[in-house]
Amino acid sequence: MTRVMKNNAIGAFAIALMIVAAAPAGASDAYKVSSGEVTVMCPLTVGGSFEAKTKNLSGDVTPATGEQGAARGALKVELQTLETGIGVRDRHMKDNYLEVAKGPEFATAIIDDIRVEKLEGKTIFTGMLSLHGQKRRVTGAAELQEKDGKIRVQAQFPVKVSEFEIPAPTYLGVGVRDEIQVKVSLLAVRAGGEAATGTSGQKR
Amino acid sequence: MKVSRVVIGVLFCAVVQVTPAIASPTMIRLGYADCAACHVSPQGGGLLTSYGRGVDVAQSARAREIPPSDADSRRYLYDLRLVAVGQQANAMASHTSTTSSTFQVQLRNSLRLNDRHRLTYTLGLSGATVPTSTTQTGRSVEIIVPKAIWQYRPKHGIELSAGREELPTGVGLPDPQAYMRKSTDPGTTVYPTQVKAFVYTHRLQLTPFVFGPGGDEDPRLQQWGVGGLAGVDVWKQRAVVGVSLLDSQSPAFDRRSVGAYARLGFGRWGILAQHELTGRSSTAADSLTTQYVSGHTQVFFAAKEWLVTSLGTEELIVDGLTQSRAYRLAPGVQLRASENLTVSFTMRDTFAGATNGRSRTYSVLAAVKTVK
Repeated sequence: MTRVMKNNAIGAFAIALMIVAAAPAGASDAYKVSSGEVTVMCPLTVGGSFEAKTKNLSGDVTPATGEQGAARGALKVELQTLETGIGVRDRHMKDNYLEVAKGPEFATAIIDDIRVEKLEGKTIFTGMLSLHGQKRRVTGAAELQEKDGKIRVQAQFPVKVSEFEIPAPTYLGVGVRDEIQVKVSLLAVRAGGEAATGTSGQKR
Repeated sequence: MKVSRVVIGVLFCAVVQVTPAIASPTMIRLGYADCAACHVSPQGGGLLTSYGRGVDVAQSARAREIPPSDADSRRYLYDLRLVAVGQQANAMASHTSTTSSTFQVQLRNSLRLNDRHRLTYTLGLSGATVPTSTTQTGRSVEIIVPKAIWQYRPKHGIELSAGREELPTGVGLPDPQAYMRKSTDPGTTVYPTQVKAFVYTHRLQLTPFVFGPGGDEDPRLQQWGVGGLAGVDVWKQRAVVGVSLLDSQSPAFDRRSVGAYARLGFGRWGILAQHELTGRSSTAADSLTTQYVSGHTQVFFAAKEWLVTSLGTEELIVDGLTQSRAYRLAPGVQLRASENLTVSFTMRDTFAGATNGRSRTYSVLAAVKTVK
């Protein structure tokens, strides 16, 4: 089952990015990811699916001044921390497909150049996803909610494994379909805001 | 003393026939919403596909990657499986107990005729190894044929099969199903002859079937009937809910059953549930109908990939000439030592009302199989 899975933690990042970009219009400070989870949903060619998950999501984003919906900064996911629930499958995913040992650009998935249509509520976003040494623009749906200086983001976008030059994941005759879904859930707080206001609750 | 012997006898019958199979519907926790990816038969159980063997190994304490095999292209697949069960049943009120052990040896075979047709069958020996119970009189080794089916798969997602095996169920756990069957449909065959279809898509799992006698039951209990399962995936291949229907006739009674089931998985844990309402009407002149409510609910937790613990409950409510209620609480643990060896431990506490009292059964099951 192993090779089957690998894919795309990548997309998740993009989501996170969008979130950040969704910071209230006019906010000039950066938003830092305080917690989050990336779930990569991988449908199998024979039916069924599995998920690769990690909570190792980090990054910060600053709304770009004078450019509506755009953000500077990046969100990144350490692919080495992805887990599918089956150890052998995890090893296949990381060693044979994501090839995380090849270098930093393989070990980390990054999404940057994030743009969102709206900064509150349901919206469409785009971002530049760097994965497996490749860069591709991804597009997905996101929902942003701001409360008490924090922004909660739920985002999902499809990723085609083949577009990132990842070998088609297969194991013992069963494969992962080319299109996988990346789901990102994160909470971003205004960088430095927690200490100053004491309201974030995350690091009290 | 006589009452206690009867109770012990019932307990013994209930435990000694623990179905010596180990099903894995708990794999829905990892997104395996049906059995077709890993098993030669989409009903589950029995021989594994090449991929299924990979999963089997990966989920054992000796997890490792296995090299690709030619299992999916090989014409003939087989393995040899030995299942041994040891049990001790205690009647709490009378402080009496009985022990037993049973075994099954199965030769499981599947012959691929061509790309679409396959013959799958299991031949076995079943018997008691240590007949220590006073109620276990002269039970001998018997030859069994739990499965003998022809499979036709015209395309991926559709399979027709005809032959003899257990009827499909919503959850697919052998032991609870055996308990429900014996309680609500006593005397009937475990392996009816049947024709059925499996239709499984990304969301739907349909299994209509017609069935007839298995040949090993009392002629008056030989049933002819129709039934079906209809399940739908409602959440990311990790939540399947469905309904079951069955309608049958036999010389002695007519039986109708409607039920609901759910298989839910959430990573390390999940819930399996199957509940049925059954009516069984005598065909005699003074037609008597007995209604049964039976079901099983299990919460499981995979502490390790190879170690799955569970807590199951079963209920049986009988409303007919007599009325009774019984409940079972069954904590258990299943350990996959390797692809060759699985061991499970189960304790069952049965509460059968003030008359029959409470009983407790401990059972140990070891399943050894060859892997080619």
